[in-house]
Amino acid sequence: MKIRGGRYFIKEAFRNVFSNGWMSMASILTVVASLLVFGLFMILSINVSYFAEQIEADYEIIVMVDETVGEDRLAAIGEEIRNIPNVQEVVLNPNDQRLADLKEDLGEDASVLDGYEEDNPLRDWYMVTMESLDLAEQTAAQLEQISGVAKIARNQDTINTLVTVTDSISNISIWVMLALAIVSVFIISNTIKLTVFARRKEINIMKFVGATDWFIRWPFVIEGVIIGFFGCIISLLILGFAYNGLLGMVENLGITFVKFVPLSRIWLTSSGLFALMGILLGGIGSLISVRKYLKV
Amino acid sequence: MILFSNVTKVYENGTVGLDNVSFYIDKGEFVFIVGPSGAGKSTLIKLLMHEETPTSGDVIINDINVSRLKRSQIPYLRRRMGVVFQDFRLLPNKTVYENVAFAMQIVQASKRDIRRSVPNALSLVGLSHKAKMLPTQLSGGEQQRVALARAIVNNPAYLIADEPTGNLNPKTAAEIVEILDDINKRGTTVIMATHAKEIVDSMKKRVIAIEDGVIARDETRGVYGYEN
Ligand SMILES: Nc1ncnc2c1ncn2[C@@H]1O[C@H](COP(=O)(O)OP(=O)(O)OP(=O)(O)O)[C@@H](O)[C@H]1O
Ligand SMILES: [Mg+2]
Repeated sequence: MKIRGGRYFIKEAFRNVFSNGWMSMASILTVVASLLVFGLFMILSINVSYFAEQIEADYEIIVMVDETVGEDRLAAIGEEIRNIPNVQEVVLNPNDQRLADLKEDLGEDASVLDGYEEDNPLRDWYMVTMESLDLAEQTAAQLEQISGVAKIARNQDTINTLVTVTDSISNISIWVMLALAIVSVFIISNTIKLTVFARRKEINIMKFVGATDWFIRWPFVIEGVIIGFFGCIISLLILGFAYNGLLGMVENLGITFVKFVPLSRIWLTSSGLFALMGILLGGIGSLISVRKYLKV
Repeated sequence: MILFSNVTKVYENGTVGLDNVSFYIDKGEFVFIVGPSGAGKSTLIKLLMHEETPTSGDVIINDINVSRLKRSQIPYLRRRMGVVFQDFRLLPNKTVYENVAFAMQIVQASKRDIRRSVPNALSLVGLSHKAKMLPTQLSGGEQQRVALARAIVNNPAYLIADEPTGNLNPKTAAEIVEILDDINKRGTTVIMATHAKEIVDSMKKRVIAIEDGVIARDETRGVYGYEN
């Protein structure tokens, strides 16, 4: 495509957008509406996985080491645990420490534990966090295999529930986003269809004078892209402000048990994604609507 | 040159537009296509323009078998042919000048070429002084002259006209045909489907008469031959 055509296409596209002012406005707003719902689901799924990440980071498997194991073996076990691929962090909680903690917890009744310092009945523990909770089952099995490990403790039910919930939320989000994308394409293509219809005579003239299909398509495709792009900008602004407001509110209320993803961490990717969506939806929408009129 | 070789066109609903039609038109000829309403004149023109494709037979233009043309090649075929229709088909929101320039923009001609060729075409059809007007401010004959200027501005080898004078009074019609004759004298092949008896009879050009989809006459210096 020659550059010479470029300015003509863009001029024509803007002319289309403005000559159908109300229709363009209406479809921009409908695109905004569906991108808003799209954005809500995106924010929801981002936050759910962020939330899951936090829980995963906190989630520990306790590896209880047999009391007959000596100092050297204890250190070796720590090393073996560290060598398991899914293991993120390993912290030793030695029995002395645990006894001290226990005493502290008992407070006044701590005296019942007097004398146990010399012959500590408690086991040494390794606190193990994992990179991925999906692999918890497997990792637990590997931990149990290590010789000198008496027992491991974990809560597989919590993990399973968490994994299921995050998975199903991201699945639902993907389907909803897909459905909204289709709806937006449909809306945009209907608007463009109006412009195309209004200009069918012109298209017909272009055809018999010898314009190529792409020469005819470009202005409409750009028109769709403009609509999609404006829709994306407006919905991004609304979402950005709303999300920022939500974060502010959460902070004011002093809610700390759920942490939301900070805006600074997602705005760049989201803007990129939205712009891409807007442009793609607009472009595809108009390609669909011009097709019929090119068959001459 | 244009060659129709055993061309048959049957429309999707079964109507026969043309039935085994063969003829040859040489470069530089001026040919009238005549015949009763529904005979197949517009069908012939649509086949030339590749607006329709033959059901069987071949349409050959300049050694190219148009019936087998790839879709992407059609625009390039059309650039070698100027067309005018009974209903002018001008863009109402563009000036006379812009309507003619439009045909050049579409084939991505340079600004310089457009500035040179559009005034030439307008002066050939005698409309230089109305370049800034809108089609709605022109008479029918003037509108058809704009359409003619648009058809020839890209220097096509063929000028194809489907009842170009159908909406015009006899005097205006005669003027249009005079311009067509001028264009023909400059080397462009002209093919014109028409019901204008007086024009055909006075021009003494080649006449191909079609009746019910078949060629009834093909005369070098023919007459219209029907009562309107
Ligand atoms: N798109 C179409 N689908 C079906 N039949 C068609 C189509 N176009 C034309 N026809 C039929 O084909 C036959 C030839 O039509 P055509 O338009 O070529 O006639 P014509 O000679 O141009 O007539 P006129 O002088 O009235 O313009 C007619 O019977 C017409 O009804
Ligand atoms: Mg006709």
